[in-house]
Amino acid sequence: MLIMNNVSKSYGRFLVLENINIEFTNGIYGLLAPNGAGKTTLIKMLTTLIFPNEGEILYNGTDIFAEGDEYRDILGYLPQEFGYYKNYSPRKFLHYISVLKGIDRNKTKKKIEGLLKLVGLEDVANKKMRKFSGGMIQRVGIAQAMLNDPKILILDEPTAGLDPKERVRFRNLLTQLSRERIVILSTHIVSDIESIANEIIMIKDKKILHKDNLKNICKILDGKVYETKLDFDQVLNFRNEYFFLSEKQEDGSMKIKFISERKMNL
Amino acid sequence: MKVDMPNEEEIKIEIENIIKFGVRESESFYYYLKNMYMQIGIRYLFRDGVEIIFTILLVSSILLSAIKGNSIYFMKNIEAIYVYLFTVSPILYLTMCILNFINAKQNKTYEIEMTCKYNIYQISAFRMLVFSIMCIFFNFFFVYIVVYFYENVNYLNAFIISIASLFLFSTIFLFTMTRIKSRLIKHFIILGWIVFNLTLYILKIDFYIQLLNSISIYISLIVAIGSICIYKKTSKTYYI
Repeated sequence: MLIMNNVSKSYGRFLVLENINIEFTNGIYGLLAPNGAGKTTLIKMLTTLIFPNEGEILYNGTDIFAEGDEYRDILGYLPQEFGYYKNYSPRKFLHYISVLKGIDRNKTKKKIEGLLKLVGLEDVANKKMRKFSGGMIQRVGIAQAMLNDPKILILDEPTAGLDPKERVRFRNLLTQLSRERIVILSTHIVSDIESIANEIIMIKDKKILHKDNLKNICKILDGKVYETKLDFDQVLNFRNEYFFLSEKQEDGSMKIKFISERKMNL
Repeated sequence: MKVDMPNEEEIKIEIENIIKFGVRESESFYYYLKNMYMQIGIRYLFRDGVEIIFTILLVSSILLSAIKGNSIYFMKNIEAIYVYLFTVSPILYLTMCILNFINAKQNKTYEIEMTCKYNIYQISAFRMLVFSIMCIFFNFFFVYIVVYFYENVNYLNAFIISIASLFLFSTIFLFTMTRIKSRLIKHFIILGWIVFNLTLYILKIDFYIQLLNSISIYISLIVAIGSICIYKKTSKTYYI
């Protein structure tokens, strides 16, 4: 079990997350928040990339920062901005990461071949990644996160750059994987998680707004979801005030689905 | 339900079992390094081998040309050469270590490499150990060339000063990377070494020049050995 106990994080005087308390058990958790709400900060703390200013993060009762390499050994992570070596092929890159992850050499080859097939990259496994599309790179990122069969799989905006077909395949893959592990999936696209997440965690104004399963979230939000059309220059101010569920361009303006605690007449 | 008190033998076996399964055996520093080397291998520990060779060639040619180009200056101020050696000895080490971090940042692989079992700091620490050994050899030849140009320079004294400087800097570097969280302070401390020494050197602060010249070989040797020991101890903290 992964637990965040009274975790707060600030950069200088700027408070990003305040008093976060979450418990994760096996299953898929959808971390849903507007851009800039602290999703990535929360994820970076769970991956030991940054330290909380207050509180503790425990995995099976032990502080993850004290556990060091033993915690990282069971961790799979896809950052929002996935970096790779352009001169490497997917096979070589996965081999490099598997070495860093300390995976048994005898199992590496089989594991890499299996993952390349799983993410549909076996045909281009030896091609250099410099010419790959965004979607192909993202698939390499997903494969590297799964290399060590992680008990905790953390994916920050994993579907960015994937086409609709790839998204569906990715969702199915996650559903299979989530049986024996904690999967934390951060996104601002509701459709990515609505069908697969066991629980949805919504962050707004530095705090957890809701943490529940989809059914209960729907009950809580019943009558609070609105849709409106805005000009592009109005979106930023509106975003600061309301929790966005989805946004898309339509006829030269933005169509936005959002949550409001106040009753609105739109 | 009544539970019988176990006998001494059973208690002993149970305690041994608890210790066996509950307490992690701590690996020695040497075995950790060996395991890491066996797991990662030379191919990926030094995957930027060509860049490392290029860096060595570039830095050595700059340092050597400075020695040759300034020969008239050093002829007149032979004492300043110890300050020069003290200042530049860790530069090759610094360049090679920083190269790795810059590469990871540029390729944006830093986050992934930081969350692997063997993270970028551990690999860097391993590389730094190798670099420090390489730098000992480099300094050995570099001081030899300096002595070739300036016969008045005592080879042993110059070599020990350069080694003391190398490990003093390496210790400060490791300490800064592991303990200091502020990026600004990190840069300030690392660059501070060069800026501080260069300023004293350029301003020809007599006290500083006299200090480095008057320190006996024994004191330099104690500083060198002391800093090597602290360096070894500090590098262990990297392996978390």
